[in-house]
Parts: sequence; C-alpha cells; structure tokens
Amino acid sequence: MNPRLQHEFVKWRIPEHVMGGRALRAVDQNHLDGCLRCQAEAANYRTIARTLRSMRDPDEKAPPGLVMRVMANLSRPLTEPHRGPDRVVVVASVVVVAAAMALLGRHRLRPVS
Amino acid sequence: MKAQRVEPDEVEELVARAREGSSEAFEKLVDAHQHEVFGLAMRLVVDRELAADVSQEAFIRAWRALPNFRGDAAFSTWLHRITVNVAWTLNKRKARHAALPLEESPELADAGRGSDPVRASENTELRERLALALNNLNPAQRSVVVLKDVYGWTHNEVAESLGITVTATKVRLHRAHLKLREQLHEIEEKR
Repeated sequence: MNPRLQHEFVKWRIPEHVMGGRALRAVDQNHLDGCLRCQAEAANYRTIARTLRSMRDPDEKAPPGLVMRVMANLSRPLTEPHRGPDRVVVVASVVVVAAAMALLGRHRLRPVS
Repeated sequence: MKAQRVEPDEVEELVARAREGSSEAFEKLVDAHQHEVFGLAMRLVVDRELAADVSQEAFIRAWRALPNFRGDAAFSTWLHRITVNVAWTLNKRKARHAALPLEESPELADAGRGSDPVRASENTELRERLALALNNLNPAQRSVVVLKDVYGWTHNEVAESLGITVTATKVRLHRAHLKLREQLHEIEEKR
C-alpha cells in the first residue's frame, strides 16, 4: 500500500485499536511502531479513553428535592411519548387519497365508448 | 442533599422490600442512587432540567417494573438501562431546541460550579474540554460513547439498550470517536 494511504488507514483505525481494543494487522502495527504522528494520535486517544472513564463520577449532583418529587409521583401516569399520528403515515395517507381521487376523476372523464 | 450510603447487601434487602410494595424502602433506594442516575441522564441529554425529568421518570418506571426485576443484573445496572430508555423517549423534547453553540453549553457554564479539591487536578481541564466535545456530538453518537466509554457497557449491552445491532453500535462508536477527536481539536484551537 502507498505509504501515505497506509498512514491514513492506520490513523483511521487508531480509535478502534486504542478505545475498542481491536488488534491491528501486523502491517498496520509496523506502521504505528515507526510513525511518530500515529503514536501521538494513539496517545491522544488513550488520554481520551482514560478521561472518559473518569467522567463516570458525575460532575453535578441531582437537584434538591428529586427524591421528594419521585415519591410524590409514584402513583401518577407515566409520561408517554407523543402519540399523535406519525408524519409519514399522514403524508402517505394524503398521497393515497389524492391518487385515488385522480384515478376516480380520470375514470369519470373517460368517454363512454 | 447528601445521598445515603447504602451497602450492596442493604441494596438487595431494600430491593426485596420495595418489590413487595414498600415505598419506604424504595425511597431509600432513590436517595442512594439519585446522583448516579442524574449523572447518567445529564451525560445523555445535556440539560439539567431535562435530566431531572429523566431521573424522575426513570425512578417511577423502576418502581412500576420492580415486580419484574429478577436480579439477573445489579439493581444499579438495571436502573441505568431504564434511565437510558427514558432519556431516549424524553430527549425528543430537547430536539425541539436549537443546538447550543459551544459557548452556551450548560456543562461549560457549570464547569466551575460545585468544584471540590479532588477535581482541581491536572485532569480537570481535559475533562471540561471532553465534556464540551461530548455535548456537541449528536445524541445518537453521544449515547454510545457515554454508555461504552464512560460507563463501560459492552457492545451487546449498548446495542440492546439502544435497540440497534452490535455492528451498528460499533460503527456509530467509531464515528463518534473520530468526531470527538475532531471536536477536541477545534476546542483546543479556539483557546
């Protein structure tokens, strides 16, 4: 493979390799071992992975009163997602009705032979 | 506001009592898990008010689903899955708002709030930048990163929870990582 393409390919695979633990092919590993830019990129992703893991500890506490709100609402109906007609269904229905009316119109206009 | 510390054995006991209908036991569970549930919700929806709604809804759904909780997974894991589902449902509300520009991201605005000495480490700045970059991912990408990289879920767990295939999870995750790196780079350049 062209060295530049090889570099771009390895660079593209680095996140999966570093953050997903996916092994590189020998040829790609060789490139990584000899390419300072790719090594720097891998180091960046390792830092990102480590920092993301540290973010499990929430930065913010739950708002005061959350427990009370939960307990006060245990018996109320759940918030349901909007149950209105789906836009695709509405559009499809309009198209079908329009097509049916057009067909009907053509049929009525057709001269009787 | 400090949550009660509940030991794992005690959680099991509280769950058992709550399953039998004890709201008192459930209240203790809510108190013990409120911050982690809110933290997960906040990571997923990036909006304090919505995260509070998600947390409340997640606990209420958990209460109703408790009779079906078989204990195959830890209570907190189960609770997290419910939180993810609720976040997906309620996130539609957030989608109505325009995307926040970087400078107005709530997490950045709140970055200095509630700081404690532990967080005053060299990692803080990167955490802030990463939180900002994370918030600027689209919700689908942010969810996989939060669940896989922050919370350590497996690809299978993420896929199951989000209702997508494992392959789709991996593809989404890969794109999200590239985007995250790009976002970080942009944020660094702006500083």
